[in-house]
Amino acid sequence: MTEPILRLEGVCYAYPDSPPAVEQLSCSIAAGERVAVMGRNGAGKSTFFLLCCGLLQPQEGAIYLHGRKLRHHKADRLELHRRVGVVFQEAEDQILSVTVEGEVSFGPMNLNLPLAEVERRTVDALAAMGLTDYRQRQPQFLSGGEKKRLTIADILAMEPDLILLDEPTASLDPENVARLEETLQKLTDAGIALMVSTHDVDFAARFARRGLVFSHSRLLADEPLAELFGRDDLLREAGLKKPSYYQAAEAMEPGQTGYPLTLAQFTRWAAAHKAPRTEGVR
Amino acid sequence: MAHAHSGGLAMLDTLAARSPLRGVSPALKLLFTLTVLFAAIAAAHWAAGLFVFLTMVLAMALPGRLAPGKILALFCAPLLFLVVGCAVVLVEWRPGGFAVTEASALAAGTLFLQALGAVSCLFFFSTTTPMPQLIEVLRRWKLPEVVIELMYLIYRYLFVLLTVQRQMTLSATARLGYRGFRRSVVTAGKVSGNLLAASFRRSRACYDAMEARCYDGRLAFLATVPPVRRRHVTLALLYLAVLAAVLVVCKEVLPG
Repeated sequence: MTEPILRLEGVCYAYPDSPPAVEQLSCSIAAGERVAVMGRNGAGKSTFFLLCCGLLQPQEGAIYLHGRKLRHHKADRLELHRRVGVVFQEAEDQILSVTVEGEVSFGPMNLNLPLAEVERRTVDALAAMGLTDYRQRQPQFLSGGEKKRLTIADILAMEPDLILLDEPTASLDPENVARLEETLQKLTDAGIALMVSTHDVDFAARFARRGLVFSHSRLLADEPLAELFGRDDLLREAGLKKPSYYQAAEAMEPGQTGYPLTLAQFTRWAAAHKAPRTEGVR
Repeated sequence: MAHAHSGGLAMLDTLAARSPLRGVSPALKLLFTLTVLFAAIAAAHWAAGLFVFLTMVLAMALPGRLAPGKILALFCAPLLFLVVGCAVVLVEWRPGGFAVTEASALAAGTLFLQALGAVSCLFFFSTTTPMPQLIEVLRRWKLPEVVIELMYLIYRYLFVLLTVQRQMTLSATARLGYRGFRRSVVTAGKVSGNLLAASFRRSRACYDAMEARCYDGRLAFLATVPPVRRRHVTLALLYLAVLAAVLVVCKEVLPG
């Protein structure tokens, strides 16, 4: 059996002079998977992401990268940074360089790759994110959606196996959210696993099959979204609501199971549950 | 354009990013501008200053395609400073009161035009050269790495913090925070304090993002700058030759 890209076993972390931010966290993510991470603010999602990409070291438990247990060494930390990229919520926190080209090349340059390889990765990442024509632009002249794509290109240029995206739809308009979803689909098609932290359950339903739910520093659930949104007690505890199409279908036919999560599923569900026409009835 | 209205620096930045002359080698432009600037100052002649001022404004307006209104707006602040500064030279204290003499008028006029010529050189360079190109040229000219890195970071975060400051000021204005002098001073102080806190938060987040991309203590980016072209070198040399001729003629013919 293939090893997952990343596996966390009994991981705990507490910030100085604070209660634990994550406790006894165990989960894994396999190649090509799309996972939604949900929960209230302060539930532990961001700390989980920082642990996954190596910016924080677990105080208890262990992290395995492609089946290999990582030690608290610089070399292992660098390997984790290289394999697991993180796209931060605020693009301005991430964008560092004064040109788009410089920004995307920052990661590959830090990997001490030959210049030709840095150039290739930069060109490829810009092309994948539709930013080729922006290569010489300055980041402050980009729109919000373009900045978001630039931050993804930053990480893509590192050629990671797993990308973590922290609230990628925050402050994006619907058109840019649609573009982002297309972008994420491209990444999945390229075989990259994606883990997205979000409060937008409709986006989570469109994006992922599997969901991780955090509450009070603990992982409450790790299961398929279709099952997860059927658990009222869990949703209440994590402060989550159900996706819009799920709610609509539930309102139309209460007490059923297997409600739709997305528009496509809802259309099929509505067609299957349409009341048969009765002859003579107006 | 997020920062189009955030002041003079942002305006220069926007003009440079759109300038048709941004494709000319920044190294050539920097050398050319510095040469003309020092020539205008060293000549110590009003006609040299006037010639440099007129030709630089012409270069900004024609190949640089800058609207006259924009050029005028750029010169407003330095003109005000120059007028006040030269007025002090113009007026002499004589027994019996203040007076304007032929010598003081010539000295003030020369100073004014020299300074105007020098300022126009700087504006020509800054409205046609995006800052990233300048930083990259300085890196290639072997300026210390720490200075280059600081220039990169300061330039990048200047705009980020300008945006934050503008939002805070707007928010304070909407809540009548700038009503009256006393309240304005208090609000400005609070905005500055919050800006400091915001910049600390940004710097921590920025460092995390850098570390996540394997940052090891050295800022390294891929950068391309427009190459030096023979046509541009010829034009620059031609201009310098004309400037030299003007200087010689001025020294011989015109008082200065």
